[in-house]
Amino acid sequence: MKKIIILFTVAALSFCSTQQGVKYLKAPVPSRASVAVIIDCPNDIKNVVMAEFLKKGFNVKAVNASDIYTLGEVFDISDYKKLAYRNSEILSGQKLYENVYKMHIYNFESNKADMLNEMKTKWQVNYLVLLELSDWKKLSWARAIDLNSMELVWVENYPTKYKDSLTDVVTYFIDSMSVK
Amino acid sequence: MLKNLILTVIIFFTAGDIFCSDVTFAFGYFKNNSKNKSYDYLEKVFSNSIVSSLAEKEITLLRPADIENKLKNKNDKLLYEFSEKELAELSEIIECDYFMYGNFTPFDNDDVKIVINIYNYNTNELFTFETLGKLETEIFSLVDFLSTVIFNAAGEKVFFKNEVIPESSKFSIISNLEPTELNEMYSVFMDKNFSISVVQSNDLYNATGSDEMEFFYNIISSKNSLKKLKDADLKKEVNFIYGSWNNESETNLIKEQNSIINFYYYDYPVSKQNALKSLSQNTKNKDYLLLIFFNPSRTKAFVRCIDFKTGNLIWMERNIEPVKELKKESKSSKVTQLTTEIIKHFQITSNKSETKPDATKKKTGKNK
Repeated sequence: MKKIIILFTVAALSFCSTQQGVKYLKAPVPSRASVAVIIDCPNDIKNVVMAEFLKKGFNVKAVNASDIYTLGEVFDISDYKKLAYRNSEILSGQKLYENVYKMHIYNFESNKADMLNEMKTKWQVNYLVLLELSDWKKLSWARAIDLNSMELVWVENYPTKYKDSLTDVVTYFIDSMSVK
Repeated sequence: MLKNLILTVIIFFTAGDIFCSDVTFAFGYFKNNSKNKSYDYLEKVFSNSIVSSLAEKEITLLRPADIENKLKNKNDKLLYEFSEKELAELSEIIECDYFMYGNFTPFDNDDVKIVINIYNYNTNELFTFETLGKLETEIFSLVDFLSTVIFNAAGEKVFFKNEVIPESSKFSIISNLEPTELNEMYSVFMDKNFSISVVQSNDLYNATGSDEMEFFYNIISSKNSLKKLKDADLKKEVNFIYGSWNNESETNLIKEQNSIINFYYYDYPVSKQNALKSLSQNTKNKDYLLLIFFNPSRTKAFVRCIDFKTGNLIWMERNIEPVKELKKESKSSKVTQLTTEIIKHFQITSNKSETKPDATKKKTGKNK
């Protein structure tokens, strides 16, 4: 019995040590700022999240995660291989594949940045906020990007607590990014 | 200054003093690229001076004359330039782990441009770098600099860094970390007053996994490049079957293949340079692109850094790990500790540090 308690304590301690919260806020996101909130979750949960941002006075622009991302949805990695190896009779498919992949990563990042510039100029979005909410025992995380400077201004990992509700975590993140 | 000195001492400490005497460095000629024949004497002087400069290291050194002697038995002579295939064959004949050769171009204002190629026979990698120096006034310091760069690039860390990274620089980072780990890494950078651009940080999911991130190990830039030579003499193998018997669809297919191969292979340096230019503009980052690959246990990393202003590779290093073993009891995660270590290297340059040579030579059964 003693052994079980000790093992449980060790496991609990090691678990706690890996679930460290992280936060850095370079500049607070001003209240009433125009924000695009990106979160990949069902619509009912998305509504709850957006409502919390609206409650705090933010001007929330409707943008879906699927509107912009992800690389897997835009390009299928097997397409690169197919493209490269189709030419393998005359060249090394692997080397061509590596170059095609690297070029697509650079272009993918460049295109996303171009899209964010458009979001700023056409839709008057000032900040992009990314959120991923996790259950108890896991890390919820968030980031904010200033679209004027195209720089990261806030990052945070938050260990979700047992008693945290969805709105608790969202409210925590909103307060955390707003106050220096 | 004191900080730099401490960092240099740290690097020396990590490198250790154990050098492997069975590692062989062979030096070919440095071709005079100018039409001025009075500089031809430097073709041997550069190699011999670098060998003299490395004489104190516990490695085996071969001068051009030593190589010529070895080749004489085979009725062959040492060339100035080599195809990728010839590099492997030559290294096998002269039994070296690293073969260095290059060229230089003297200018009227006493400047000299030197291009050095370092071929690693064991990994079949070719590192090429370019530097500018003063021919008459700084020749000795130039040779010392070249010796240190060669020694480091041939070392176990495959280390090259030709400029310090200033404080408050802005980075576009591409990495293989998961989102929460990325936040840890970003927070360390931001805490040290560096700026992070939107690259990858605007994604909910990481596009680059560990397997694909390894593709960035080999890197080509306008001046300095590290590339794997597994596809020796590719140009000779390309053979487009083309003639009057081709119908329209076959002709179109050949044209399509031709343009793909040109864009992604032969013209890749130019294609990539244009892509990076566009990335720099769209992300409003004129400073640096940093490629950081962490191993699965997050205890080691390799780094490639490109200066957006020049398009040059300014830093490459592998096997970066904390000086002290990662502290399991520490509150900081492994990613945080390793990122802190990477940032410590920002102030170091090649001429300030040394790593031990990579002694992975297989004495028999070299497979190419």
